[in-house]
Amino acid sequence: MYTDARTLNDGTTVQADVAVVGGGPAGITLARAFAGSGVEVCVIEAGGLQPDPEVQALYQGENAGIDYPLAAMRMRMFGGSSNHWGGYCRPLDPIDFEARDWVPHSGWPFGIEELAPYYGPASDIVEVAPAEYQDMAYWARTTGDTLPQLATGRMWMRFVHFSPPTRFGEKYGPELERAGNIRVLLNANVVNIQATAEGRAVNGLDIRTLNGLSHRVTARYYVIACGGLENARILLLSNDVVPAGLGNQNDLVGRFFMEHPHLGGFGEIVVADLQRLPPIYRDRILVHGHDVKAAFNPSEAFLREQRLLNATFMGGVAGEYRKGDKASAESERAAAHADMLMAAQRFLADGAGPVKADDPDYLGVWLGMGCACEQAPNPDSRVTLSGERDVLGLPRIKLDWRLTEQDRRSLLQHMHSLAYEFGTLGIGRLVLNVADDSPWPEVVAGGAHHMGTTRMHDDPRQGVVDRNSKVHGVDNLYVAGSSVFPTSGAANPTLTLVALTLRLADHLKGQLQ
Amino acid sequence: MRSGPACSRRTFLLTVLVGALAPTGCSDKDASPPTDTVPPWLPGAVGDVDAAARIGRAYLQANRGERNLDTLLAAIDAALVGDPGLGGGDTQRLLTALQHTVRAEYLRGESVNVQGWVLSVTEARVYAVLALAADG
Ligand SMILES: Cc1cc2nc3c(=O)[nH]c(=O)nc-3n(C[C@H](O)[C@H](O)[C@H](O)COP(=O)(O)OP(=O)(O)OC[C@H]3O[C@@H](n4cnc5c(N)ncnc54)[C@H](O)[C@@H]3O)c2cc1C
Repeated sequence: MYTDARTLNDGTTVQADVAVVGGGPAGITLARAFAGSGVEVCVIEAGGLQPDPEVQALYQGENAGIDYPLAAMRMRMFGGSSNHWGGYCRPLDPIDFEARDWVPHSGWPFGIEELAPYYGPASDIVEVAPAEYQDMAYWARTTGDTLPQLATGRMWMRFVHFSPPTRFGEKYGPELERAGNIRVLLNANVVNIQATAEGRAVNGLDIRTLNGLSHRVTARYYVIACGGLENARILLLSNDVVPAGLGNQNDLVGRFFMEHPHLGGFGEIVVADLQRLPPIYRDRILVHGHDVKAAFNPSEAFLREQRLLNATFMGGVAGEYRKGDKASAESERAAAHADMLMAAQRFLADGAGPVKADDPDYLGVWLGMGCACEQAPNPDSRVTLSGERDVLGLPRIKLDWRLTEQDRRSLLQHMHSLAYEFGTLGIGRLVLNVADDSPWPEVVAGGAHHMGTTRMHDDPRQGVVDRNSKVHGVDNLYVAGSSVFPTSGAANPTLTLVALTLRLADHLKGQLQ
Repeated sequence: MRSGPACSRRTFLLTVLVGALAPTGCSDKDASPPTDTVPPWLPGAVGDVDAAARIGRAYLQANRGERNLDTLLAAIDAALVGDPGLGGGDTQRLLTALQHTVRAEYLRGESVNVQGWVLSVTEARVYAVLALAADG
């Protein structure tokens, strides 16, 4: 059932077994897991069924570090940021879960095997099943192409699946609406998590609407699923009992903010003979009703040997060159690409003749490359509360996103690896637009992946939530979403956060019995 | 005296390199003869000599110590990996050996940065030879 909180009588109290704050992929997945059960679930969602600029403005905030468009990088409406996500899906790699001695603060409380049973159902939920994320032989069979095996040992291929992309509100909202045991409270902003006197349990959620009403939700269990930035903010805002904020007794809430730095335009690869680069390496291929594309990732052995962070690279054909064409006469970059294609032609194509027999002027193409990389967990990269306030009178979010020299060095090594793989296979040549000794480029952007601000660790001095996503020291408060990731890997986070949420649902079902 | 395979490889390079002017056979005399002639087979290693020369010039600008044909050819010669065993005459064998060398350098990560391009060292030197040749 949907209820618009703006239409309830002021001061209404809603009771449930499980209160879920936030109706994005995490909150909706959790609620669905209880659909049709005897468990009463209330989803409290700040937005409505349509985008609303006044609601969205609550997401504005202040930047203290790398420039980050806080309101554009998430969506405050039912369905959350799935209303405009890109749909890239891939699980984390096994090494991402490990405590790596070269990555400070790394290590999940469990290995990938703990999430493995949930990745299948999660792939279903984001509509990419049947999914095969790494088996080259499977993709060679399925596409009918010979897939070149990378040869240097530095990288390997992984396969990204593209969700349609699933709009969680549209897709699963009707299911929640129909379920007799689920109530979705729309246009309801949770402004405070009310804790008991000692702060050891939560006894209610304070809700405000933009038309000035105040309500309350009480439940046995509370799950915060407001997204990777807002999860931290809501805990910090809930400071009437614990002055530092709920769950923040060890000053960890909001710290360790991680993104996947995206460096579009870091380099380009020229390829003379596209037949050497099968379509799935450069294009999205429609298979089993959804798109799939290969990604270049550093191999686990290379990461260990060189003590590097993880990364993902993908490329796509961005332009074609022919002898004497206008582009190469007008643009320095195009001229350089064309020169390289002409110079290296014998290294990149068979025989001495033209690459295309019927087109003697054809030189080849260039691939635009994108990369998303892991950043090391960094306590100084953090979310705090700003001095500015929103229309509800609450301090806005302040983000100080920081990257380190280790992050940059790692990425540069992987860029070189990419050049070596293409060179070894005789497929292409890579030109880098970032210098080895330069600082982080000014134009680094995030991927709207917000991780780490309520990190998971068995030790309360090192994590906000425990291995079950329960806030340390608070008996009935849980966090869902990528804010619990202690490390980010280089895979887009939504598939993993959905898998983690399914695991949390199983845990809560056990608790509720 | 250089070892057998190295000697024959070098002989190979020089034979094609200086053509009739160069002595053939493996002797002390031909181990490192000075030459200012571009090996006739070398332009065939690239798709376009002018384009290669433009890249080669950039390499030479950053590596001024190598602005010398002998130095470059000696470095290329030293890098050429073993007999690829392909038929098709000397030139073909050299071209194939060069292909293998370049790929092997990428495999080992032996690269130079030429105006942002990550290039195998030998590949860059081939372009540099053609630059020197073009510039007289
Ligand atoms: C442009 C864009 C592209 C993206 N592309 C990809 C991609 O290709 N692959 C990928 O894996 N991920 C992608 N993402 C990230 C992905 O959208 C998020 O990982 C995912 O939406 C997170 O789900 P969530 O439920 O944890 O949080 P959200 O989606 O942020 O949902 C949180 C919900 O909580 C509600 N809320 C917030 N505060 C309160 C409050 N105080 N009270 C009540 N409700 C509240 C919000 O309105 C929202 O509905 C992208 C994101 C963006 C913005």
